[in-house]
Amino acid sequence: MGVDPEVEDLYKKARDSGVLFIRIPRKAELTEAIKMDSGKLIVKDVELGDDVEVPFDNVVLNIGLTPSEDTDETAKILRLSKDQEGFLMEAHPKLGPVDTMTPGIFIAGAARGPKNVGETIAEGYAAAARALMMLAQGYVTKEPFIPKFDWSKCTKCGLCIKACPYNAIRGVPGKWIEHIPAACQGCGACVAECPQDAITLDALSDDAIMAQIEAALAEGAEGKVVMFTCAYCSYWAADNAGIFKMQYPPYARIIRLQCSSRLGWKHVKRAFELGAAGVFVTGCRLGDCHYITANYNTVRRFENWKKRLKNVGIREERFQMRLFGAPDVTDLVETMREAEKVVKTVTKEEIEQTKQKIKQLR
Amino acid sequence: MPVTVNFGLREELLKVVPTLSLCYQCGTCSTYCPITDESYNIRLLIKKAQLGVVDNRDFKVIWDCVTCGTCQALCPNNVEIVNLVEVIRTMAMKSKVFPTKINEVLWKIYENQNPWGYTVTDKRRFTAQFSGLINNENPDVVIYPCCLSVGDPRLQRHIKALIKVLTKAGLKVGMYMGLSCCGDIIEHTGNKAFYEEYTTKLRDAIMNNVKAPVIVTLSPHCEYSLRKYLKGVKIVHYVELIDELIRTGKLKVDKKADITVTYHDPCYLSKHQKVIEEPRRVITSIPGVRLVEMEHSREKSLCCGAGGGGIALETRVSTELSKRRLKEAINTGASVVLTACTYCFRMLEDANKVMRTNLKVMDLVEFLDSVLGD
Repeated sequence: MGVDPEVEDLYKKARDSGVLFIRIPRKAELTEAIKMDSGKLIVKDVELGDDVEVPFDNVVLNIGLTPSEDTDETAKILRLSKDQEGFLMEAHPKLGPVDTMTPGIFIAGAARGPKNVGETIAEGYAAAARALMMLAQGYVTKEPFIPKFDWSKCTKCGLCIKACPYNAIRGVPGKWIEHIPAACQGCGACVAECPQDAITLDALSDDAIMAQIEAALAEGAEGKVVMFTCAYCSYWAADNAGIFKMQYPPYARIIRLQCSSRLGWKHVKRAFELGAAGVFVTGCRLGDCHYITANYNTVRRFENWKKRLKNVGIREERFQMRLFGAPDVTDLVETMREAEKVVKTVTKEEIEQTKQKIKQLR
Repeated sequence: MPVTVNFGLREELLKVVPTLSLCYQCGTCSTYCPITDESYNIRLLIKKAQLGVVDNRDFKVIWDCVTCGTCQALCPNNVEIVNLVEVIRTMAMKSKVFPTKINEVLWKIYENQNPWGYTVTDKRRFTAQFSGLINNENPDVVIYPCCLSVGDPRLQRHIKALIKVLTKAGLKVGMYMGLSCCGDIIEHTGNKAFYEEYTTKLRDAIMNNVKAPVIVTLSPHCEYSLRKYLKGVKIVHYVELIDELIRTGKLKVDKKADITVTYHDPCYLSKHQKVIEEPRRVITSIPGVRLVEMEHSREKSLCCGAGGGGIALETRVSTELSKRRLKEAINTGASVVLTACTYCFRMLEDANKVMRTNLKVMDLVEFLDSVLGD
């Protein structure tokens, strides 16, 4: 019987002092493998290949560890992600074992899962070192994806507060709003959310996206599908498709966004105005988003926009959303085939009709 | 059939073999065991010993073990498996489950101090042969001849060769003339009470008669068991001594030989005492000799089948093993198979006669002597 390498020395010490270990079948339920009779346990022993009766005076059980009660609330306040057992989740099991998705918040020890003292101490050191790295620098380096707020346009509606996955925007709706650049990771969810256009991004501004759409649809727009991808999942899937030498039909024009939640109504509207055969929105799977919960915004908005487009008579096939991860190349290829189908079925009259009708919408 | 853990027996076994509890059932032992099959499974036997549920069925198969020690040498937890086998054999003796031939062998040792039935007449003949060759007045080293050589002229040649080689190195050679068995077979067949009684007598006899500071044994079995109860005197196997003599320059090997040889590792030399490089150094120090290794060599070498009383009991397992080992030697393409143990020599030579091969079985010292000449 082997054990986790971290506790190998303890296992050896236990054997040395005469503890008898019995190995039960790997896949067996505990209640099936160990039965209790009057004064003895009947255990299935894999090594012996038979049942072993163990007479006992006392049985001490080792019960599994569950997350503490406050974990839920903490996760809600700090906006941390949790795994399926309810423990807090690290950013990456190997590359960021004590980091969370939110820079500046670190986790260590039993908050992350069942741990012994040695591991907890080691993780505590690691988390402290990571925190010290930030503190010693005295400032935070950011990519140029921090939005700018035009307070003269802002009506303090508070929609951006809800949209932000990092709590980087706070305030009381109707009274005051505040933006904390250090906490902001630049997903752009608030930019697309703002009904007043009071929030703008320097990098990948609305103008830049519009210019990309216009360039993509400059010639033969009726034979093209505009596909918006997020930089972390669906765009990487397209990259991987190239690496794996996958073949797909050439009808989609990919426009890379930092996150799918950056996509606003005006981009979709503009694409249809210019006569695109269809618009596809792709992003990460729910829960896998690089920006924690930002793509929930995308899904919510998509449902809304789909209703709007349906009202002006645009078929559902022409406006689709697909969620897949970076390794799911087959999903991307399938999406590309779907784009081909859309291009082949759409008629010129339909596109002209759309161009006219979409102008009615705000 | 479900078994009940017997904590009493478990504690008892742990007292005698403390490393038993370290076993985690990786199965290295039974993988390398030369006699693993459905009936004999050393891993399962250790598991049963851990649970304290050793029973009559195990007592029957435990006599197949040749105590070669491959399991022990390769065990990652250093469990003293051979010790455990001997303890279980003692238990089997107490439960009266053992091959009847053991009784015969033990009676022979009791009467003649050797398990082969050589009588006083044989001993006298042996003594008469060597009285002119040795110097028992003030010897540098004393040879402890294996009791098997008392009635075997082939082994007597080995002793003569050893005396010649050591004399060439400038040593005054004596010999222990008690000619009694070292107790190896008694120990491995599990009769602890007789072993204690016999070795106490033998210890006194040797300490009174041997005046040299070094005892050289012909067989590694003798070295292994003498080391257990003889204190205050250095005991070496002749391979170790010859290797030292060659390295210090006292023994010069200047003759040439054009021959391909292979070396069979005696279990009690290679596995129990870790003497692996010395015999190879001795062989390769002879100019012109090419040494080729068998499929199983060094710590993983295959047993000749003589160990653990196998040579005296002549079980089916032991004769099968010697044939298997000889086949491996033939496969190397060597013309001579060397060994450094009286039991191994005897087993391989016997198998050689049965199989009628062109291979020549020789003892290492005999080979060295034949190269050096007169």
